[in-house]
Amino acid sequence: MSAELVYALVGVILVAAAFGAFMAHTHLLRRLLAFNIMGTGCFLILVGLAQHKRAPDPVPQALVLTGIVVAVASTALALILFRRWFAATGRTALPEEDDE
Amino acid sequence: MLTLLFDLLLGLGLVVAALGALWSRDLFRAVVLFIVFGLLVALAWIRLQAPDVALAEAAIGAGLTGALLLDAVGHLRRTSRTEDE
Amino acid sequence: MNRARVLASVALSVGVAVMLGGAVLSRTVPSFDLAGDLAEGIPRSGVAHPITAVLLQFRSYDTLLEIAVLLVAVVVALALRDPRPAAEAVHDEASANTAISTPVLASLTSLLLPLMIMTAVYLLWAGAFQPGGAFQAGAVLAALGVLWRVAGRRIASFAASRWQHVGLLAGFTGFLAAATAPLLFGRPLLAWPSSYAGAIIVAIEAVLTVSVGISLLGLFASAPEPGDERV
Repeated sequence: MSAELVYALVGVILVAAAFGAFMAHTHLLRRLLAFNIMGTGCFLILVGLAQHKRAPDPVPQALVLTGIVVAVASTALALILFRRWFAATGRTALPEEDDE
Repeated sequence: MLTLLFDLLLGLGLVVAALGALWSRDLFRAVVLFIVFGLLVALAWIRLQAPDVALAEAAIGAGLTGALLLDAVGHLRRTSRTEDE
Repeated sequence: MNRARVLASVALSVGVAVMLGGAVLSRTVPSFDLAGDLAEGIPRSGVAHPITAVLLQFRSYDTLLEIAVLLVAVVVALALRDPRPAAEAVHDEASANTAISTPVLASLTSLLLPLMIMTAVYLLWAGAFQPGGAFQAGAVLAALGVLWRVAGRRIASFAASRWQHVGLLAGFTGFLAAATAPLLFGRPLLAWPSSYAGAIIVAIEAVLTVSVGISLLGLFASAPEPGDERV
């Protein structure tokens, strides 16, 4: 059990926990938080698994670097859309979720 | 052996911070725990021999995303407060 | 939230954990050694740092598409922005309320401006042979912009202006031009000759830094202020 495998398994727990939270919550900001944590878990699995018992590998690290930038771009855009939605309707969840 | 213990503790810290960010009752607290989570992940990247990714995660993942989310949560609070008045 | 939803979420979560955990623990070791092949290719690439070489030489197509994604996100963010002219929006009373104006913050931002620009340039230059590079430098520039905005200072002439648009587009169009230039010489896309590769990569990283910094700042600054809720 090397250090990298520990982080890969931590990544697995993060993906599973964030996925469950994404399904359970209806508030859009909480879903966004869950989405971000799922992404970070995926990055940890990617690098942890690639470097388990092997040399540090620049290719998955570069892919994760790209992934972080894309994640922040999509989070920022999602926040702007959420704020427009909130300004237009005053609600923080999508209409089909509001039945509860 | 000692470094493995450190990795296990850091992993535990990551999971606890993430669970706090996902399930906190107060949204502001959830975002603050998300920023904490981002900084701990930067430490994890250092342990995974990826300093470039650690720099980017701390600056963009924790810093900028945290600032964006705090801005949104503050805006949400301000707007709902003015509606109550 | 209702009970059925919570139970379903927990069940799905546990299922995903079991499947992923099983997949991670029973992985097959790949037969090729990517890091070794990469180390052999570094001298050809024009930069000494492996991550920069991967990002801008060996997998430069991914980086080009990433910049395109960032540009699309910023364009949509700017399109959804307050349509009032920048000067009018700056003096709005509501937006002034979101700024923090303490003397410490004001003087600190003045001190930090040159320091952070210097740090960003250093990170950009150092990326060629040690950890650093365009994205980290761009993030520092964006952080500077965010600090500037939070301290209540606006560069009113910059906000919706030509300079901002030029800065946003410079990264992607510069990269695209450098990517398609080899086509004019009969080489495939993004195939720069080894002797020029180092210089081209540094030039691309420079415009990328500016572009990423302005894009990230634009994403932060495009969020609606309390004063301009329009339905």
